[in-house]
Amino acid sequence: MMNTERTQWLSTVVRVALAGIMLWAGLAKLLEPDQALRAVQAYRIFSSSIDDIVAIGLPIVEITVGVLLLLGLGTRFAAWVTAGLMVLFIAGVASAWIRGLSIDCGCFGGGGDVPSAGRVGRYLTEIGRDLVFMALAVWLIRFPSSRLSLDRLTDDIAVEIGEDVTNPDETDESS
Amino acid sequence: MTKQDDKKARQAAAQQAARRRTRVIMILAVFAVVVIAGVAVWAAKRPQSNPSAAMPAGVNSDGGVPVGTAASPIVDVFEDFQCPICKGFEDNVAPTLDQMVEAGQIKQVYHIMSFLDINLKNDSSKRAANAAGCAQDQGLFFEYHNEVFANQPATEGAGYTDDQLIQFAETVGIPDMNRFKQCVANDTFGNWVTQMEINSENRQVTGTPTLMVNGKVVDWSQASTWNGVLTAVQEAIAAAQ
Repeated sequence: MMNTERTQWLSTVVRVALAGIMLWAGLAKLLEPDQALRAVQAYRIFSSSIDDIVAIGLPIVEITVGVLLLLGLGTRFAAWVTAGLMVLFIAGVASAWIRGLSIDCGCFGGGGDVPSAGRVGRYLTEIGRDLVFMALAVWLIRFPSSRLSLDRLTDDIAVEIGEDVTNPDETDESS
Repeated sequence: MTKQDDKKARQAAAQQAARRRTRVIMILAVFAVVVIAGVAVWAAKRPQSNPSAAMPAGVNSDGGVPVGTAASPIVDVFEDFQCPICKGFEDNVAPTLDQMVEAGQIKQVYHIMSFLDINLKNDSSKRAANAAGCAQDQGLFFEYHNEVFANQPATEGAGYTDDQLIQFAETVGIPDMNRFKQCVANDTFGNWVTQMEINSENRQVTGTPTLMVNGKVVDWSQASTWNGVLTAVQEAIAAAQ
């Protein structure tokens, strides 16, 4: 067993970092909706009407998860959602790659069709980056309990009112 | 397990359930706030369709600019004035198409898009598109369009100044230069530009240049040279004739 306190602080760092990434990704899409829509369309996965829903729905999910991670509210749940998103993103980029499309992932705003030069490197970078984010999410799924979190605050209150709180690392409190 | 332990355990379980409920409610509250704020921002940021927008004389109802007298096949051309590949297209493929228009073999419809403004963080695509509308209003869209591409800055993103846009008009011989200058300064056809962009997006055009022959996108993804692109275009036109 790792030092619990150190693990919890480490989880705080991971949580805030992942929150920043998700908020950035979500806000960039939300503030440039035309661009976000173009990026979704460029994947040529969905029909026109679904593209609209994805282009607004995706940033909303990302921002929600970002806020939850920042607050440390439902950390494990938010981490699961993040990991799920990363699987979808990797699948999307891989499918664009396999189909020979030349697009920018639109991960942090931007996106759309781009010249095909350096395509393989760009797709590899995008997938590699998503894998790193996924690793952060997996850490939080494994160690959801972190300092400076609302999850912990509710646990602390529970302790104060005399409730028996088992080792938070082992519980699934946050889901 | 004693009776007391049992009671304690049930109490703890109840408290834990209550805590989980609180947490779920808080999560749903965060989600609700983000949905409301997100949809509001989205709605405010999306360009609004404005069918009553001022349109240049002689454009189609969807904003497209028809060139040529032939009835069919119709070749839709989607371009952005700041797109370097569009300039390549104009230099290498368009002259052949222009000859076909001249000979009455095809009708071209230009759709001037302006999404590169977002990528390039300027407003040159929109301003140049508006200026092309001003030229169309005086019957010289085609000439003006060619002049803009002929003078596209070598560096992508350098854009066009208003002075340049006016200079192009003088070069192609716009009859009423005062009217043209006012049209550029007032962004007279700005709504038309937005409308054309929205209509193009609705037709699933996500990149420029895009060509459609009778509504079908010409696939030149296998072509590695402009000659290859030209061949693909010519084949698509031949198939539609």
